[in-house]
Amino acid sequence: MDAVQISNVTKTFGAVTAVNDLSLTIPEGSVYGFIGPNGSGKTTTMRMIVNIFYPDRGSIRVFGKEQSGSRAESIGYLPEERGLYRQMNVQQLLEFYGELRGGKKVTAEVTEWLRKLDLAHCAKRKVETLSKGMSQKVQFIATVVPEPKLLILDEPFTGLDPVSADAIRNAVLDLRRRGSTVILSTHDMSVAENMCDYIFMIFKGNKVLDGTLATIQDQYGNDTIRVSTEAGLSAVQGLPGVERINDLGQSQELRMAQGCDPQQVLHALVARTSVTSFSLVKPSLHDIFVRIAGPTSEEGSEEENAA
Amino acid sequence: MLHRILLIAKRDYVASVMRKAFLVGLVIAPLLFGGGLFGVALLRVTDGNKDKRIAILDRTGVAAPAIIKEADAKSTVLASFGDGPNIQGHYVFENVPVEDGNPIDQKLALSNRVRRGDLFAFVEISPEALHPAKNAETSIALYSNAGGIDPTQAWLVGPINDALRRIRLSQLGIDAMNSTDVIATVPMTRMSLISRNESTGVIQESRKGNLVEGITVPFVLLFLMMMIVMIGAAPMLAAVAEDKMQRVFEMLLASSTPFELIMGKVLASVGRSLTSSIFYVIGGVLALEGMALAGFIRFDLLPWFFVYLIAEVTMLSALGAALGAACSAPRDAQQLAPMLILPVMLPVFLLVPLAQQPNGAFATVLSLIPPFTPLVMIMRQAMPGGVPAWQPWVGLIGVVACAFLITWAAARIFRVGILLQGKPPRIGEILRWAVRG
Repeated sequence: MDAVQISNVTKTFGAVTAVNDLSLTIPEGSVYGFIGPNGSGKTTTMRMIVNIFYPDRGSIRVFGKEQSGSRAESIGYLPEERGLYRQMNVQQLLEFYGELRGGKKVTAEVTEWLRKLDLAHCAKRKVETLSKGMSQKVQFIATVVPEPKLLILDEPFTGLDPVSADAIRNAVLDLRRRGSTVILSTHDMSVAENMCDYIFMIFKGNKVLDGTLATIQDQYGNDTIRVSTEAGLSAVQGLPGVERINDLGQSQELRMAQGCDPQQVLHALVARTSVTSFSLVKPSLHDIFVRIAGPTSEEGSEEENAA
Repeated sequence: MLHRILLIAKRDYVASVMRKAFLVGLVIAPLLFGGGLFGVALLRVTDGNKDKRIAILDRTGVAAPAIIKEADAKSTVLASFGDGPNIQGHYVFENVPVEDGNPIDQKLALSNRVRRGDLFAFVEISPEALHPAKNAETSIALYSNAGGIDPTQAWLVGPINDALRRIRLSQLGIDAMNSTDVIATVPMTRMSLISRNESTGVIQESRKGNLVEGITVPFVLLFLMMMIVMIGAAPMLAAVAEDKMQRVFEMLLASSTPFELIMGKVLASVGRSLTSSIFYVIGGVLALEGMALAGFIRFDLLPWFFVYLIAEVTMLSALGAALGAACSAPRDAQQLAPMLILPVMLPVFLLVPLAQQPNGAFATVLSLIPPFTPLVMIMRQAMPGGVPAWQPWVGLIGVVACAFLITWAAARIFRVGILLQGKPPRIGEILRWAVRG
């Protein structure tokens, strides 16, 4: 069964179309990454799945059931804009959120999650006394207690240090292993590449990418060369047939123009400097993102031309 | 659904009543509302009980002794009334002979004595006062720098006119100077209407009205309800606006519908109001019993009081939640606050006309307009004449219907407004949200 089925959904705010005729199917048990620039429609889509916003047109089904204004206890939602009742203590707050969603006492689960995320010592502390990272972990626990069938995380790793980010990541993957479906939005392309089974990109309210990382990369072909040279960036500048350079510091990604022969690029490069590595790779998600949403994006240009 | 509403209500209720601000407010609010009366009483005790010296400038040449005699008699009667301290003070009179020359010079000199505090005031009796022509407004003039509500003028009218009447009668050959009967004023007693008990058929006797029953009880009930409604409902706007700014609602909205959320919050407000009302009502009853004034307690009105209180708090806290959801900054909440307190403040602003004609058309209509019904109707019910039996029920139906309507509309406004940021919406836009959802 599909966890979420979005069919021809449109949502507007005044004159702005936040989501335009979106259709998307999220298989049960998958980790689905939502990417896209700020204001592209990711959060609006998530809020519609959670039923906070209602679509103007189209329909959304969660585990086969039409969203109809009621609240589903099977969905755990971590919003991008984080806020908690600051005067409550951590244990009471988590029990409140858990009981609100699940309809039953969740004391044992809360205690277990606090231990798992190394927050047991904070159980009696007021939320206002916690650090930002601790607050985010508390909010994450509020999202997963009781254990949801569908977990929706809007930029869950933003602002977290690597240790806290790892703890959350492991917890998310553990929930997936236990059967939860996960939808997460992120601006970190490496998170999308490494964690997600499927990636969906929305840009200006329209779906522009949807599939596995491999199928998305296949759409963009083998037009990227990754090189490392002794001279670094200066050696690759102005190479014939190279359309765009993405400097990664120790290496560079070169995007070739259509019809360009990679052997010619290699010869030209060898003539300039000593080459330590040269490989033909699929474009990274970061590169694809920039191609779509960058200032000289193809989609953006097409839209502007059409306008 | 009910479980979620109760859970939200419980959290909000506990969070608010456990705050120091609530506990302090419980004690401070009656002091603030009653502070004016306390201040007046304090002033009367500390300042109002001093003797007040009044000069009589008698241009009739015959009236001053009679006036002073009448006024002294009245002052003596009042001063000997009751066993308590003399909080009125005495009026002490001084007969000032009329000087030759320009009258304005003597009045300037007397005015300066008032400014120095040597005199409290002076009264000028013109020659026409004995046989006044029509519209002779300035026949008797009181010169004073006391405040506009100083009772001296009203106090002096009686003794002065009594004295003048005695002189007129004497001039007609009737010896009225030493007779109390001739010009005696017979007081009029205010009585309640006689009524027949609908169920038993027994005719109920009229009761003698008094100040406590006629004015104090209705006013106390009105102010008590206003105070409790303010404690329960007024913080809602700022609290929702603050929670919105702290971004706590999005997670809640993922687990509960806007209607459940707003109903939970409204229920918490009602709980807060009932807590404070029980505190005040029990405290008030015990205090009055302690002062042997329990007879003035209108136990028959308490059920109405609580029903109206719950309805009013429901209406206003739902409205407060909706307006709070439309706020994006603390200043927005300040700008919208008058909308929330208007239904409570308007009856207080209109207190005098309402009290003068509690069964007039204006008071009746106002008491049947739902946002104003609880305060105005309870005041009218507490007046000695009462109200026709159907009116409280019609008012109650209107209030309950209005409470449901406002809560429903507030939930729609809340759902749209709660996640919006940036420029605050206009009133027209908020109303559109209520209609379209």
